[in-house]
Amino acid sequence: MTDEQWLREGLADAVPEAPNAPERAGAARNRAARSRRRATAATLAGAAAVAVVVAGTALAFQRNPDSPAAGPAKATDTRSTYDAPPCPPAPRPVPGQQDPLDQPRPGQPDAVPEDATSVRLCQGEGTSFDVPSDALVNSVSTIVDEINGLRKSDPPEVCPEDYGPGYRLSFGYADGSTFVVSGRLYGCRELVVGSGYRSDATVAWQAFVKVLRGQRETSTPLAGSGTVDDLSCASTVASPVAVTADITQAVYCRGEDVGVPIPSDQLQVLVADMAENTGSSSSSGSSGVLHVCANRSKIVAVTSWGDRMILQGACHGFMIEGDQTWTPGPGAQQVLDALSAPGR
Amino acid sequence: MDAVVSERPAAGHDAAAGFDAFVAARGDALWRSAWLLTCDHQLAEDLVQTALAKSWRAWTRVGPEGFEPYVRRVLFTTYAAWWRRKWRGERPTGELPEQAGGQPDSDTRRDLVAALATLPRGQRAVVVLRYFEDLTEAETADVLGVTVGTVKSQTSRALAALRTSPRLREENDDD
Repeated sequence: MTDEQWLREGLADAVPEAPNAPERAGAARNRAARSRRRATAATLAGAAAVAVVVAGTALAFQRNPDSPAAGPAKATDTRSTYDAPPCPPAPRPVPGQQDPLDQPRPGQPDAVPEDATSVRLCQGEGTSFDVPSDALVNSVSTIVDEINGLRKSDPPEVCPEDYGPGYRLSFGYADGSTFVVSGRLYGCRELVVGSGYRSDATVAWQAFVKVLRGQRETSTPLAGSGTVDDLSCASTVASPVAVTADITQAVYCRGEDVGVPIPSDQLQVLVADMAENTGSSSSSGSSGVLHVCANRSKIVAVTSWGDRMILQGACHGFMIEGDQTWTPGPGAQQVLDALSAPGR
Repeated sequence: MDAVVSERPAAGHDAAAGFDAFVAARGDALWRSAWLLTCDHQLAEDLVQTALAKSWRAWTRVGPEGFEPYVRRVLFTTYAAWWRRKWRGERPTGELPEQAGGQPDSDTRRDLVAALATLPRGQRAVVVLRYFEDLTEAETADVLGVTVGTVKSQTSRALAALRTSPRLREENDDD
């Protein structure tokens, strides 16, 4: 008998009979209802607190609302649930200079130290994205393993001249220290890990997105995160971790300036339709032919986690972060037609 | 502007009846997995009810066909979160808090569960999913939200640890 067979049979034999629990389903539903009532009360209290913070901050600072550092509108500064060290300051673009955090640091290990207790996705050198407010505190070792499993590489020499987001993963440790890994989703797509380079940064980025989404399925967002006062059609940054199922508020945009708030009942229709009719962009029927579309509409949204989303109008529907395309069904199209009607 | 709640529990009796039927049919199986994770009757029931409470809101969205994998994933990630937040105050121990009694050869089984209890939580979760739930490596990775490579390495470490567990070695030495 192999170890695996022995283990299978041993475990099956070892487990006791489950106790008789006829009220299990009812108890679970009651527990869900109690949890929901608590969340609703917290939301009301939180919304009031956030409104005060936003109003106060608006007077004190004139920040660009699209800036990843413009936190108060997302209530990021009060999110202490995960007790993780904050992101380092975002790099400031200085021609010809690179932030030391985005370069190899001699004397440091060339792998992420084990036993990290948290990891945050932060803005790096590149185009801006909406930084998630929450840190990853479950399965952190998965990200550590993923990065340390990447191939070590030489310093980049000749790279494609494209441009895209740059990011940092800031690992937190029990003693309060941090270890920052820096990646670029453009050029040579290299990852700077301590004193060396690894290839490639896309893998670590995708792993973080996947695991954080998984953590969110069993976590609760900070109360008040899903409602903001500055949802604007001029918004240009989007979250890499947001999913359409979490959208709580949105505006329909015709061009850059005209935004129509989407009423909650209509937004529900759209979100439900997105769940049904979203697929990979590569399979959305473009047939490899480059179409020129006059669709300048877009939907700018915020999720229950405070993430910003931009659904950009395209030939076959709306493009969503992560190479996805939403092709609205008849019911959703009716809602969109009404939102785009002159006079709204 | 009004906020929209994206996951809404079904208000109708149909949803509640469907959820109740699911729990009646599969609740015991979930409890057995939870027991292997916690080694405690009460914690296992608490874990199952917590997972069901978290999942109930998604009943209409996920549907009956996909609900069991969904609940299982919530159960295992909740288990991981309990450990991370140390809510339960559980501590490593050389003695099992409970044992599966009333069955023949119970010493062997007790020793296996005791050895299992000494594994790190991630490895224990992988062992339960792979060898009790009989999931594939890919399915296990999906439930835990990790890569297949992580499942493979965790499985390998867990099997190595079980092979060298003093409890199981003593048992073999006795044979």
